[in-house]
Amino acid sequence: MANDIRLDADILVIGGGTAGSVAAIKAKEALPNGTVLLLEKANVKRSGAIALGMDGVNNAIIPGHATPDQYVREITMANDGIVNQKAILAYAQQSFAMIQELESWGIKFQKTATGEYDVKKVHHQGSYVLPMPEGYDIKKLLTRMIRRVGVKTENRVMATRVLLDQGRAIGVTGINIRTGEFVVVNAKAVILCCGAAGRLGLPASGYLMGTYENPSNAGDGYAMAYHAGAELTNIECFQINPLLKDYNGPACAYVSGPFGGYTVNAKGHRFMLTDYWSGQMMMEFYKELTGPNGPVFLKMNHLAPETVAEIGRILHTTERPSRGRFHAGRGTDYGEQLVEMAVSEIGLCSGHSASGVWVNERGETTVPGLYAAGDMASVPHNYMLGAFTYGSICARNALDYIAQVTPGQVDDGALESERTRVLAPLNRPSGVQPHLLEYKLRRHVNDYLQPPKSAHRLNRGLDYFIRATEEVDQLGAADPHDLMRAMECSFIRDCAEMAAQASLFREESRWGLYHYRQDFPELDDENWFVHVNLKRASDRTMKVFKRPVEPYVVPLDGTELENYRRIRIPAEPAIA
Amino acid sequence: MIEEPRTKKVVAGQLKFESEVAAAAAARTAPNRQVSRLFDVPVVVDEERCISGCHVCVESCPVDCLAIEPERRKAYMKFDDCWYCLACEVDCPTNAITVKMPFLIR
Repeated sequence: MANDIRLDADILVIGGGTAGSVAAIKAKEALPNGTVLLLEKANVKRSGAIALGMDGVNNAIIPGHATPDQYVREITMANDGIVNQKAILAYAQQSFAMIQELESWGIKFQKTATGEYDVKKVHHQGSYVLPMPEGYDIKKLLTRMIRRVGVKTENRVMATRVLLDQGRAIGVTGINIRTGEFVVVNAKAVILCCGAAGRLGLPASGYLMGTYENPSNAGDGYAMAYHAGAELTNIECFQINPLLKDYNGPACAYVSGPFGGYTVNAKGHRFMLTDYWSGQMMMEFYKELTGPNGPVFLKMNHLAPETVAEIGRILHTTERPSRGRFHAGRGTDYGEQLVEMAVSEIGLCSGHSASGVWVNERGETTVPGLYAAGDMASVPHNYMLGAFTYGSICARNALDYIAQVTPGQVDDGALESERTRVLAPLNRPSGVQPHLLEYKLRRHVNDYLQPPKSAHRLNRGLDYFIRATEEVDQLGAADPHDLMRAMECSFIRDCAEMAAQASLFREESRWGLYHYRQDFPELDDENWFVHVNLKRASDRTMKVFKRPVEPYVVPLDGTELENYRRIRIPAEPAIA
Repeated sequence: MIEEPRTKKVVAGQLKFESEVAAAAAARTAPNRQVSRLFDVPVVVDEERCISGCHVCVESCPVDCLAIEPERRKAYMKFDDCWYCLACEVDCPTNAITVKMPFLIR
């Protein structure tokens, strides 16, 4: 069409947040004469999970403090054994070099007086937390690198589908969310870095955009990979985080823990051995929260005033800086009161749990030419440094791939039907307002998918999500901004259906609260020591199946897998 | 002309449609009258300080909820999507923006 925007690239990166920034920079550095195009739904200077910076690296494997093998073992335990260890090991081995490269770009990590990395212990076993006291400007530094190396950036363009030629990825379609123009990009390889599915559940506050994740991460990548025919995995292993009640940002035990803060119940008693987020830890958190000693709090009021002030300085300048005014508005002083915490909406996010588009240790999805990194790719507990490292891994492997492929052929029919689908809400100005359908979808996620799960509830939810396909087709958009929200509704619906299907399929309980089935409350290694993967079958139905866990490259000793199942502090024996 | 009675005697479920399915379908396809929407506005712009022609905050917003009001050429919160992330407030060159917590979580 005449008023479509047509773009070409050698390597196309979707999403300029954590993973996408590095993928684009590394690809462009290796392709000085080629085109690396970065599509960003927001603006790269403030996008993704680290739009307002990050207070530290949660999974640094610094020589002298931790080893790659030790890290792989710990993450295997934290995921009840269901991991592709090769993918975790690739991260573990390459992430220290990534830290050094980030330093060369001007990003600062905390050092001791003697110049050593100042590593802290938050995990159950090893020490992997490396603070970044000046982490508030990380996105600014990445944006500077993106410009310096010559990555071509298109801000406010939202991808909607991956274009395919005989099953391989050859570009994407999208829309400009300011003008409503349809965008077609041809590329030799596509790297999806679209972040979490953060707008899946509805926050307990009822505020649609009051999510833990940056709300621009609506599950776009999960849905696009699904429609491209890629396998997704561990979708039933939901992201559920212990958060500041109502505010919904991290409290944050990773920051306050090394200073002496910790999680307590309403009696002020510690009840968990570790504040590191895992499904098993969340189960203990949830039990305490909903039990007679709930709610749960972060305790910092025993710390010295200088320590409290330093924690406040970090929490109120990085990641979610409005935490300070939230607490001030409610009269909560860290040095005086306990800070109330709660569980809120579920999401899909490999950065914290394990749900994602299936990738191997080269960042490849099961679709040729399609790569994925960051919160939407399946490497578990990958956090920010994992996104950086896998952004780099994807770039390297995409470069090898494009050296051997011939340009693909875009199917004009498929393009036209996608154009019609995407722009349809603009032709229905009196259609259903996107925020209404979004609210309804996400309320059903809370009603039926949120743990504790059961087949009856999951099936009720699934029925609605399938029926909601018709409601997606009734959406109307008054302007291009609304059109973006309408497209996001379809992504949210896709993710909700995947979450219901995968949760129904795994007939056991695993990962603590993340997949707690009341109708199958026990762990069942005999039948379910497997990944649950799903993909779109050729008849367009959702196919859910078992994928074996590959043999471990870092073996665990006999009962090591049990370690993360023993997080609760045993009740003190009564004094006789 | 016979005026249609304002009240009708009807039996529930037997209204003007042959079936509930037909009634639901008709209601779904009938256009709604558009009314203006009002919402809580967490992003407060001090127009005295906001520079005409500047759109730094509009570019910073990760959810694209800000815009420039064309006549006054000042920034304002156009869409009810604020994530209270403070990108606009932090990036504004003249400190013209203050973000308050959205009412539902205040």
